[in-house]
Amino acid sequence: MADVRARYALPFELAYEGARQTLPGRGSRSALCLWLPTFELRLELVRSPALDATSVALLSTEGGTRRALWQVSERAAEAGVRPGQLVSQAVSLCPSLTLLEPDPAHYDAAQDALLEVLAELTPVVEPAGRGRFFLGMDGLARLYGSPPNQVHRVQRALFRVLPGPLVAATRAGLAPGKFGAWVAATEARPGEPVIVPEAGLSAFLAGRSIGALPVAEATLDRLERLGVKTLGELVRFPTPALVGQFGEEGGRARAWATGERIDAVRPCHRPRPVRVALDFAVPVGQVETLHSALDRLLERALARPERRGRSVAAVRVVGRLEGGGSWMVEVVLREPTARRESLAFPVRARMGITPPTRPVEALAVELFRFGPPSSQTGLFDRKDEAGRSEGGRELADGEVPHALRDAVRELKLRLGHSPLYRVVEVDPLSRIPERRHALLSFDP
Amino acid sequence: MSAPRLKPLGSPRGARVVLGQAGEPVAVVAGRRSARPQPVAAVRERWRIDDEWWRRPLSREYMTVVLEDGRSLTLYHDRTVGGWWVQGEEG
Repeated sequence: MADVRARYALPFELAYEGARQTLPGRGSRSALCLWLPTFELRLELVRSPALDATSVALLSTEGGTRRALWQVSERAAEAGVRPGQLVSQAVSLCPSLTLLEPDPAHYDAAQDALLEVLAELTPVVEPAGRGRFFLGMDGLARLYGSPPNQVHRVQRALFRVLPGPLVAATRAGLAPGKFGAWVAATEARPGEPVIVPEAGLSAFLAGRSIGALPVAEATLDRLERLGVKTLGELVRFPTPALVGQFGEEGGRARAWATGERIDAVRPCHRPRPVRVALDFAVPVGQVETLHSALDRLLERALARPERRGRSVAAVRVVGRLEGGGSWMVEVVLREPTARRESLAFPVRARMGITPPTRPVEALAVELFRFGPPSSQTGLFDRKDEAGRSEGGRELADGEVPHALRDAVRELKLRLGHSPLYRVVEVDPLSRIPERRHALLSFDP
Repeated sequence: MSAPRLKPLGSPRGARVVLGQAGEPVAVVAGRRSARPQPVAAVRERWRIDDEWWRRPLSREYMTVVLEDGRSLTLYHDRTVGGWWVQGEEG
């Protein structure tokens, strides 16, 4: 169970805390958790079946000189290789270890294909990281029959998008609420789903490890030091004592452990991403070239009609690498924006931390999460002194506000020229009216 | 980068003016709103410009008229080449 805790606590917590865009509503109380452990590594093994019987490890997506392992095969684990180990350590433990570069674009494509299939079975599908899904099963008994039949039906559907070995490795747990379903899935063996009835939830949870709780690592460590190993041992403490020790998290942990807290599965809103791509004639390894390609792609993506009226909350940059594989960075912005510079800056910073490991053959930008409509009033807002000040600073004569500059750039992308003009004096005292003023094209 | 484009502001546009017996405008077709003649309710002001006699003489007879729909137009009659033009609209 410690393994489960180390690798899956964070995405589960995110799913709980509503970091993903879930739709409001009551959701589904009956939850089916589908879990494909080491999803990414298994996808690689499906792609290269010859590696299946060897010691294989997937490298971490974090670049740099001291790369670590992300996921390891069972055979590699038998040799003492562990996720998080440095490559040098792992190779010294297992000299025959095959190291694989991650291909995030491939994993995301598989995840999307899975979501499409699952969405045909139930309207309530909530992904919780790659290779893990919660399905709302309320009201599906008439369609699919008893709970075992419901699970069987879902597992059978997976064959449409996943190869047999991957479906066979899938674990399934059906229980009231997401936590119960998750714990059931971690207890399940491949092909043998664990189904927990409403009345048996607290008894089922009592014997399970606290490692499945979606709480901070430090909380789990302290609980273990206090001798609390199972959820049943945790519920022996009264809520005030746990809140006193761990704050609100302690109270939540107890509510999950007793089965009192039932988190409904909520349908996940997945806005269609805006995607633009660029193929390089020659693979590009230079950072400057990638940055200028990024700028062009961001401009194109922002100018796309399906983006209009929405600010961008998250952007993903995907590169196809020379010799196969892919590289990806994702940035979630604190404040949604529709300005290219505001998007490019954090993406460049992230690219600096995790640069592509090989030259890039093609680069794509995806705007995949959106915010409220971008404000247009800032251009000529009276409160903003008719656009003559920016960030509290008065603009110098001839200086153009950022917002206006961006607006002109967008219009040029759409129309091919700037349709804005500045009124200039030509001969203001002329008796002939059309000689007094003229319009000068405005192109800052 | 292309050179900045300059467009004159307030360029006159052609108009069709129906004149009365005394040579006064009684109806104008100049609207962006309608192609039908708009009756003139009153002529408010008149003035004349003669200029640029040293290169290409220019002679215009301006008037501000109020139409029956309440709009106010600034018209002129080009005395050198003929024709009526609108060079301002309010209301």
